[in-house]
Amino acid sequence: MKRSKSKICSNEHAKFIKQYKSKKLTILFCQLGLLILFICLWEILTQTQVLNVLIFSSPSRIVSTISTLYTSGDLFYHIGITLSETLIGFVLGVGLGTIVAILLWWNESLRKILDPYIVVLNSLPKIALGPIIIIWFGAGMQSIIVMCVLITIVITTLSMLNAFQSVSNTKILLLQSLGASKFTILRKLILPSSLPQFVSVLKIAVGMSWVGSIMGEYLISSAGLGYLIVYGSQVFQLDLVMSSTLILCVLASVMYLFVALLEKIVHRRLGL
Amino acid sequence: MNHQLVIENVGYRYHTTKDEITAIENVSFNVDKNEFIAIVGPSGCGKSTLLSLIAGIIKPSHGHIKINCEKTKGNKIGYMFQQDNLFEWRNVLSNIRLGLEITHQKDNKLALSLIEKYGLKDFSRKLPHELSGGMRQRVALIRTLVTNPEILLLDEPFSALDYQTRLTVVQDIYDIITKEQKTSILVTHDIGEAVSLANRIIVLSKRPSKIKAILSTNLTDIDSIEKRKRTFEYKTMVDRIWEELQD
Repeated sequence: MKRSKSKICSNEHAKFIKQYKSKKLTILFCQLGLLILFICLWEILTQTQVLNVLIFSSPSRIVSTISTLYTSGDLFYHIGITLSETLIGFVLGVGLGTIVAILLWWNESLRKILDPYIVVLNSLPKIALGPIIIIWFGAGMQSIIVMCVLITIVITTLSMLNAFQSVSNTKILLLQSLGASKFTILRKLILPSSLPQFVSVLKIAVGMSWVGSIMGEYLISSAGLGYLIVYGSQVFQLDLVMSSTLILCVLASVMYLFVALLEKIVHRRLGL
Repeated sequence: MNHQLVIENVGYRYHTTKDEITAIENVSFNVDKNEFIAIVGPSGCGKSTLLSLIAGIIKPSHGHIKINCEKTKGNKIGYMFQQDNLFEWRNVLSNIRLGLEITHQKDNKLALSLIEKYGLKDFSRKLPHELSGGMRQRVALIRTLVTNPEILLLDEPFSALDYQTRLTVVQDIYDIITKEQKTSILVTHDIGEAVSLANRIIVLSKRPSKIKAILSTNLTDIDSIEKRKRTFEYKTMVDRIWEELQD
């Protein structure tokens, strides 16, 4: 049995711990209960034909659709396509965004020159660029990745630049007094002290890159979860739409959980 | 006699879109080896700017600053700030090694010996958030000392500490500085702190900063800073500086 790390000092403390654990358990129970209730209600309402199964699908039909996709080998094919687009877009977007933020931090004039363009790019709904991207990069995976990059790069640049600029001036002064060059200041202070913000940016960028890849697949694709959703809605196969959405939910949550875990490790390491 | 630090006719101006502001005007003084100098003045008078000029971080608009007859260079100066400015992601040893890394020195001997000498051996692998305020300040001082600077610049290093911690940390830091025989320049808004620590006190006027008075004390013969504060000379000197600042 896993032993509690907390040291129980008194009866009152033991009571407090008990109450705390019971509250935590109640919340978990309610969360799971809500999900189970929703699934059961959905299934019952469609089975009893209160809800039209063609429009609302049903949990059992979703399971059966996912199972069919799995046996036909399509499931991992489509997941693979969307996941690779998302991951490539995520890595490129975050990487390029951080590099741009470094350049803007390094050169104040460049920052001032590019400031209005970044503001415009940030406020522009990226989907408006869809047709241009398709013409420039072709109707394939590249365009979806570019869409993904476009969505994540601006938010990464702005957040990271903000993190770089909020580093304490006296710490910079300290390094300058030790004779540090600008590159040393970047390497020894700016980048490591922005690590917590970087992890927070990753959390935002994960969601953004899923938006980018699915949006891209809505516009142009012949494979992927976004394609399955669009295809399903076009042929009025709501089972396929719901199944793909569910898979998408699971994948996005798993990716988010990985980043959240990374954030926890970073925070624990820095004592935040 | 050759002074360790010579500040001659130094002035500093900076510019905004609306104005040209003279922060410091014709400041001249010398500092000898192992002296402990305190600089006091009204807030915003340019005390910290003067330290930045001595550290060579900013260049004077006129006049010159020389250390051992040479123009100032970063590695001759150790700078300690109001906040300890420890890097939270580095442990104590790694924080102390920071200056050595920047100057590409690989020898850890001095860092390790200072850590041991000043009671941080058991904490060398700890992260800053695991240390007390006083310990953090001690680590900050050792980080400054480890590069073997000729002059220590102390920019209100105790003002961020609470009163009780401050009482012990001031004595602690002072003992380390005197043991290591470092020339020190302390900037402070606390007149009592200046009088109890320094051999000489430089009183600056409000902006544009000029020297109003340079006062010497004999209190450094007494070991304990708290005992110094109980002397008649201490009280007289505090009153005198206060009057200078009021004028």
